[in-house]
Amino acid sequence: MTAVPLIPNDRDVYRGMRNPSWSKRGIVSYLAFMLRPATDQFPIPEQELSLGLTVEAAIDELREHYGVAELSVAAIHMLPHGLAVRPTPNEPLKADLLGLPLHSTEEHQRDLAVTIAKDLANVAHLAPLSPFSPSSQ
Amino acid sequence: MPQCIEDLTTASHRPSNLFLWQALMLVQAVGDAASSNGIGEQGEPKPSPATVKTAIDLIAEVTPFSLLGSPDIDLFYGELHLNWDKGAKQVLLMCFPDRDPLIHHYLHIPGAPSQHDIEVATPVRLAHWLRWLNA
Repeated sequence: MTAVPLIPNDRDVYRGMRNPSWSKRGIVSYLAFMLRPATDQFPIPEQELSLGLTVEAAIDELREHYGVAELSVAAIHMLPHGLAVRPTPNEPLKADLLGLPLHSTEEHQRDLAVTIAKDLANVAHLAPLSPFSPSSQ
Repeated sequence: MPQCIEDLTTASHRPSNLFLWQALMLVQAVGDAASSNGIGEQGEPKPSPATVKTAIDLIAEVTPFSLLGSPDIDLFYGELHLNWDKGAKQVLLMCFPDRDPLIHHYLHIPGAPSQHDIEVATPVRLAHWLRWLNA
């Protein structure tokens, strides 16, 4: 079985902000990079973070959004956490960020999850949105 | 709620009215955020009253009140997060529905791995890390 290749380091990826708390005063928050636990609406907890390879692809499945965070793939791969950005199977404009700790309130796991989320927020910035982007606020 | 803070204030560390007012505003903001309909995703559970009480009791016992400042208050799937941010340092208080609250402290170092750790939250330890934040 062939491993899915990494997205090249010279690409950028985009995180659709589905929650208003994911950016504060124009700065991307760590909350944008925390995996979601199981909920009544989504019984399966998130195991990877969904990204777009374009701004539009990052928000095209969101009913509403609050902007888009832009990250360089090289910056993600250079973080000391073993993260990997790989193409989403059968979704040519999507990517998955793999290697984040699953949702947990156990101390060590939560330390890692928050630290990685804050490191990701430090290499992210809000991308300018086209006024014609779908559901642009 | 104001009575709680007043009761905890002794003559040896009585805050100025300004800091007491700020602490009261923070307690109010925590309660408002937890009951807000405008924060969080649809279907995202809100913090329980017990989780909110945990956060309020913790911050009400931090002395001096001047350490508290104005953190960002966020909800995260039934959790209540208060995040203090100053330059490269961040202190995050996380209150949960089903376990003791935690403090995560974080120092971003450009070009090097960030320094971080986590511990069970108490008013004394929160005050310690807020002093570190402002050092």
